Amino acid sequence: MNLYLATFLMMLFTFFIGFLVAGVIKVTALAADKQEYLELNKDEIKRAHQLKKIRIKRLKQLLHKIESGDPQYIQEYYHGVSKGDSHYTVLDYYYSPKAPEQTPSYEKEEDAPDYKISKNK
Amino acid sequence: MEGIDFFTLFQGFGTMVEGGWILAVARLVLIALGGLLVYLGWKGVLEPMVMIPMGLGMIAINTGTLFMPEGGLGNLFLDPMLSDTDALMTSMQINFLQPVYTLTFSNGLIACFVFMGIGTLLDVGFLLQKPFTSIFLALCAELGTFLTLPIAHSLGLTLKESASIAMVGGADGPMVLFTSLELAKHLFVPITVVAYLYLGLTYGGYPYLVRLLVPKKFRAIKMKQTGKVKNYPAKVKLAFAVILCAILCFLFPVASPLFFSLFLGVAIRESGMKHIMDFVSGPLLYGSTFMLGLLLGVLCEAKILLDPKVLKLLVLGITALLLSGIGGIIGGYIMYFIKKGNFNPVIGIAAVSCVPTTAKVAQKIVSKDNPDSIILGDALGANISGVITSAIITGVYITIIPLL
Repeated sequence: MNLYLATFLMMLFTFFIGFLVAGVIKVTALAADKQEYLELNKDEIKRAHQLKKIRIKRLKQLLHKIESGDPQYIQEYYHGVSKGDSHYTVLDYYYSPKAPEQTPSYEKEEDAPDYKISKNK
Repeated sequence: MEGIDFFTLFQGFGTMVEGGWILAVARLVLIALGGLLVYLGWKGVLEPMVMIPMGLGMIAINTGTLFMPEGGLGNLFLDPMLSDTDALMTSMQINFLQPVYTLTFSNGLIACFVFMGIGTLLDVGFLLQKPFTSIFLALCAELGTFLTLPIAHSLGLTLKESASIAMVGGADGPMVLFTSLELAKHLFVPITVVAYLYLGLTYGGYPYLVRLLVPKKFRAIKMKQTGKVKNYPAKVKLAFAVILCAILCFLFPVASPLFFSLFLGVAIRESGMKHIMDFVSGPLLYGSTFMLGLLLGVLCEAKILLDPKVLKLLVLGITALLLSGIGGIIGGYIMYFIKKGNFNPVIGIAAVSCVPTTAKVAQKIVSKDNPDSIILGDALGANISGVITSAIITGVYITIIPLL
């Protein structure tokens, strides 16, 4: 084989091995970073796992009850949430001088006071 | 009494006359060169730990030649050409350095000891931070190792001899010793001597090359830290050593003693074995380097170096180192453009292995032009990668060259 070609191929092979080694080093470094992250945030991660488990459990219970058609449960579940006929937005709840339940209801939208930020436009 | 003349009594002079004028001149030149090496080592221009015993060894071997009982010229130091077991055993009982040479030098053990010691000096944390940049620079800085191979072959050397002298471009003494022992045993003495002589010169020569190829405005670049500087714990560095040792030994079994020695050094450093660390990084490394220098000096016997190939080796050795330095700087420029100006191209010179000399050279040059610019971390990363890539090329050459 032509020596120049053979040298070039050996060079390419060395580059390949070199970058393979660099890749292994990078993977080692990334694994180390991940392990460090996990160790530093051990408590938060544990808590998040527990919360996730509880949420899944509750969701499963909810789905089960919805599927079984328990209207009382559905009503309880939607307690305090607008049933869809309110003119107020979340901002009204937080920024109106009175709490929403104490705010007088208006028959027409134009009767509402100016501070109301009505519907996203 | 009548049979005793001046030349028989003072055999140093007698052997000068007996050996012929070419050998006599070569011996005188080597004696002078030995003196020069001692002086340059003492002055700190060259590495004193290698150069002083080497210089003194050169002087002693070329002055201490005597007439052997069986005829011919010889010495009481060692005979590197012996291969017959009986002759070797006899020589080991007579020549005081023969046991050291036979049991540690000619089998590459001393190179592995030096490599183990170098391993204990390596903080692989720098490499873990920027592995691709460091390895890329180191691969570029092997330009001389690759280009010298066809050049040497075109000058009449065999492929194995060419690969051995081309390894000087890797700027790693133990690696050159190991490759030449494996591929060109008959030339390993001159090749190793040439390699160590030139490696001693890198400290003085590379700054001129850098100043020639890198303008001041580039040399003064202060790199901005883009990411968080991470300090990897010892267990990560230990894992690095174990994984890389396994992969590289698996890929290149012929160079596995070198890989093993290097990563064993790193493992010793990171595993907290204080007494072993103190031993390997102190007495073993310095003792091996000293003995290496001493043996190299004693091997510089005129009749061994009077090989017509030595002149070619001298030219090819400097060519390899020069090309590798240029390759490293080219790599530095490529990284400068890839990183959009946030990279100092001088770091490229540190990728020419030679731990930690070239990294120190790079920082020294940069500090001279911009005292605020600190590149030592990146330079050491490239420097360590240089050792790894040189070891990879050793594996590639020892594996592939005999097949061509």
